[in-house]
Amino acid sequence: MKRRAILAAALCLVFALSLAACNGGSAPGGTPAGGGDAGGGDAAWTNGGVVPDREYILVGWAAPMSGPQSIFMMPTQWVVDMMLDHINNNLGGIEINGRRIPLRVVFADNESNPTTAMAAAERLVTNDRVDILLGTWTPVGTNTASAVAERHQIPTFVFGAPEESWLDGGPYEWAVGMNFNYYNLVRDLVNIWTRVDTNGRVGLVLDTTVDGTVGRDTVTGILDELGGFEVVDPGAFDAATPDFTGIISRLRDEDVQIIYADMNTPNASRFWSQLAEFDFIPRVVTINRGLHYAADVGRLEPNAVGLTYSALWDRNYPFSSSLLGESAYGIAARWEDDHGEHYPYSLGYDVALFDILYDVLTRAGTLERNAVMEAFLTTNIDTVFGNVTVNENRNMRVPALGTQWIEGDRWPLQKSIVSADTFPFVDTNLPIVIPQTTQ
Amino acid sequence: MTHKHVLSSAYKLIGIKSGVIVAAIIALALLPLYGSAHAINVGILVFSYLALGQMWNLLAGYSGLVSLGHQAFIGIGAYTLAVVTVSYGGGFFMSFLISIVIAVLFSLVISFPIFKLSGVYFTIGTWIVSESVLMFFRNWRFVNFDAGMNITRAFRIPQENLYLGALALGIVSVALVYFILRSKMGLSLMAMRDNPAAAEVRGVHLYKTKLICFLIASTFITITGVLLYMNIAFVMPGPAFGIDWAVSMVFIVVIGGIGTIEGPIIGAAIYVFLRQFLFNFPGMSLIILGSIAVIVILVAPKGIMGAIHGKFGFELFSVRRKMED
Repeated sequence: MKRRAILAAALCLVFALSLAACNGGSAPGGTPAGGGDAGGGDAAWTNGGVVPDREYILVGWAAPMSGPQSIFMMPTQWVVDMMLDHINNNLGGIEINGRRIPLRVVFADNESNPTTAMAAAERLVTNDRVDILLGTWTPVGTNTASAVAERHQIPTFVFGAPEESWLDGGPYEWAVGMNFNYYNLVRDLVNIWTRVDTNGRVGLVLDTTVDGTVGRDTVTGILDELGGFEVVDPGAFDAATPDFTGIISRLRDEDVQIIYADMNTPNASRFWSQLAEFDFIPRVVTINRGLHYAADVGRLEPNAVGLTYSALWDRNYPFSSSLLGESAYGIAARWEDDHGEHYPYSLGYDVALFDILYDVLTRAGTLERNAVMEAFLTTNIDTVFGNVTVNENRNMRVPALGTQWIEGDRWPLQKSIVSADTFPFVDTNLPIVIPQTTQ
Repeated sequence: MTHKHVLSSAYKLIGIKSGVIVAAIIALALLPLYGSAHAINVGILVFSYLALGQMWNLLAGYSGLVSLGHQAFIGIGAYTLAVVTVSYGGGFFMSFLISIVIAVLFSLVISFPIFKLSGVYFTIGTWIVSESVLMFFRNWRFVNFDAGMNITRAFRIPQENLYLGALALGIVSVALVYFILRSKMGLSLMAMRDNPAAAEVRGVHLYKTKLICFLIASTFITITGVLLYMNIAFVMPGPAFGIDWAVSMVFIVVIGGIGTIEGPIIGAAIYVFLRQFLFNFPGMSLIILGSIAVIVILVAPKGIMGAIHGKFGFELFSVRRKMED
């Protein structure tokens, strides 16, 4: 009987003590891996909360390290290693409260899932007690991190989502974004269509995801404004169970000469090959979202030359990293030399992140949360996206330009910016290549 | 040992157990006063998952209704919260009330076809229902299709409030299952699970018993869904109605010990602590979690609580009726 009572007591108390003991304690990670600072149990989550007493700045990054969005993380480790080495070794750290201390980054995998993303961001804030929280890629990463930012009143920087989707959760007090504007993105794609001789019939192939939903409203609005286009919309398809045969038949019957599709990579590959099977490749085929990475596009059959999409960053941007003093082209070239493949566009975001972080922390000169937030809001720094400042919506709007895949010199395919109306700083007089069309 | 002595010992044990449980509840309720922010955050997850596990255990462990579709109710709770608070500017209390009404109505509607199935067909049927609801929400403009909804009103809920809500939910779920199982209905459920035909012959009304159990579990899971998404604050159809929730519930119950009230308590704690620990292994977490589940099932097929009970005869919440001498 005594043994039972002891077991009962142990069961309950172990549980209570386990919770009480959740104060972190693992070693901090300079590179991906979880962990936290050794620290007491003070609940440092209030405005200007207790700054952990440690000899480094800790940035917590809730990122899609697994799941369908993990493709965005392709260059991240490379950039983090390069930037931390530069900041901590070449520059001797960042000056905080009068002395230079190193910057460290700790990651938590959000598994491309909002449920896990929230838990990952919460863990970084409450267990690792990071000084700045990062949440990246698609609303799953940006919106959940922003919610954590508001709840815990911690300076948070998010990037890689449509500005409109991110702002849907605003207004924010503790989150600052570096996001593209979806209207501008579509506007530059439409600009490509106006430069190709077509009958103006635009077929929409959009799924039910955020991009498809926002994309439909945006593209039809822009085409209405411009006039001269006729939209053929077979309706949204489910991204998980796509069947394009009915959609393609409809587009072919309606004599569509411009296709605007927005879908993930597997669906893009399937859709493109089915277009060829139907012997129906219009003069303009724009497939957004699924064609960002050369490794994916290189596998498309038939050849993807002439396919248009929106680039969220390009090495041809005539800008440099203020931290590295190196051009966008140079950084991308270095990535390609190191990895033997075409650079990923998310490289630009990761590099710009450290330009901004270094600038913000240097100007703040402290880890006090209000001061860091104030420094974020007064950002005015040159990055590989050009000069970035924070607008009234707390977003550093970055460009998304009309691009197409063409035959490359170093790699089988390379990107070519052909429309930059919304950010007119790149040469876009390049000719538009028409796909191996059947029209 | 005399009859009087046995009863006296039993009362003493019950007294100790009750004391320990009350002490533990008080300690847990006071956690916001002495625990760290992370402890509170983990507590929210543990008690929410405990409520989910307890309800799934009531269905599968005690009633034989092995469902892989109850994530539909989590999604319903999540979207009720989003729509009530974001689209109509309502409050959280209103969200809970409306979610209960919707859960009951939806349970009643699907129970007619789903109860015609049994065994593995019932399991598959519930999954199909859940996937159908997912498809519906993905294609529903009112909830912004697959784009998701920001539950902005939940952004600034203090963690302590969420914790106390989750704790209450966890405790109520345990108490609810305990009292159901101690009641005549509990006997009916277990009889139905073990041999439906024999139970029916002995006077158990199968359909009614199943329906009540199904209604209770579904409603409670819906309420838990509301609370979970008050914490998550951003809802998308895929994750809200995703099979991941069902996998979590199965993991919690199977690891902890199916058919025991203590099982989901242990399972939920292990599951949440493991998930927290596995943030240290990005990209590997699901593989490690799956491997652990396989190992535990091989070593202790009845789960941790089943193994403890087998070895020590220990139960914290006994639902067995003991015959008096």
